[in-house]
Amino acid sequence: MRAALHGVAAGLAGQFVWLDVNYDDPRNAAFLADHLAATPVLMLIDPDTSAVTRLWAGTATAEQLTAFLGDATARPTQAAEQALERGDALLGRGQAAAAVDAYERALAAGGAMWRYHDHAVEQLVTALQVGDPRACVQRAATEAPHMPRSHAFVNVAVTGASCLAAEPSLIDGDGARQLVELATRALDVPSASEDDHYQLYEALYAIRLTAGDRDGGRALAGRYLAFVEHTPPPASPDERMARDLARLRAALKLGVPERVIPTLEASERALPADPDASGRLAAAYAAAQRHGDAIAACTRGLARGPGPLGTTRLLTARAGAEARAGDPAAARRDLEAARDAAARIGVASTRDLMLGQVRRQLDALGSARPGP
Amino acid sequence: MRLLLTLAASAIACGSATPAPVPAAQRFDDDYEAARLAAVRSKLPLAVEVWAPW
Repeated sequence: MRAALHGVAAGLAGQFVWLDVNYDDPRNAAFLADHLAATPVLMLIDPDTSAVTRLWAGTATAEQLTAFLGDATARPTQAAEQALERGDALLGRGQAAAAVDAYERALAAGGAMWRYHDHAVEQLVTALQVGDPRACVQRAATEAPHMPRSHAFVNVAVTGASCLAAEPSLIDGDGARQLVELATRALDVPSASEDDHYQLYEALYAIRLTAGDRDGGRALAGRYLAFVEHTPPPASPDERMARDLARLRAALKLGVPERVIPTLEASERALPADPDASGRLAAAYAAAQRHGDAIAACTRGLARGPGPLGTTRLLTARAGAEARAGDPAAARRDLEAARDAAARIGVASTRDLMLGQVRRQLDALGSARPGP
Repeated sequence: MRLLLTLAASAIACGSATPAPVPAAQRFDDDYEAARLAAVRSKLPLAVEVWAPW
């Protein structure tokens, strides 16, 4: 998404003022507290009123982004378009339930032939993902079969499958099987981007595991890794980072971390300012039981100046490797430092999540027997 | 005189074929208020991308 957006933005210089908001930079805490704190998100803001006027959450093709930005300054006159804009404004402010209502009104007013119909469905399912995963699954399963096999279909299938994967209690519920079929079909849609494929594989894998289908999950992980390994050389650091993350996740699922270590080592050298390049390599080393290498990679990542969330992740990863290497004292020191770093995370929900993870690791360390 | 006119015409033609300069994008990192004020001054919408560094 980021690579596609930067390509589109280069052609629209002078038509917008651009702001990049790093989710892991405490300077953005106030902005993220007032807006939808999710990534990737592109929003257009009226600078005079600070109102969000349009919002795009999730992946998009270059064509979709061009059309989205091209319509940016248009003032909607029809009821359906006004409701769509209202939904975007509400979702941009993180008011998902109200946004759902606005998108429903937009769809009702616009009808099936409305030119923004499929985009409104994308936005509706995204808003449901934020506030009501059960409805997200049901609505995605209901809407997607009627949509042309465009990127909007892919987006709805990705979002619905992600909702299903995140909510194990829904695995036997209405629409679950249909959604899995739709998500599997979305993998073959030509406009499905790399990011879409990664998200689809992640969701489908999680769903298989929740359903107790380990063999099916393993087969999917194999397809996932093969897909990443057949991508062309990265054209930008953003592409390299996205591919490496997918490569790592697929290899860990398949139980073959050694297979991706050489690529991740090369990326760590190629991206000397990226703390997460070291973090991804550390995760592969740790999975390969190379704890000393994992500790060293985390240390290199910490020296690259990560934000509070990145620092927390690297410290907890290093603590895990230290504990497995038989050094609980070092692990405890790192977890206590991680607790301090986590307290500085700007987004409250992420801060709470990471503080909980550090606490669980500390508890596990306390109950573990001393190492040799 | 005729030559000068021809040269002048070709200069105009060359000039008109030269693409107009593309205004540089105003880009900001992690400073909403500075970006917002720049957008107000330039009467342009503000495009905000929220991204995760991993």
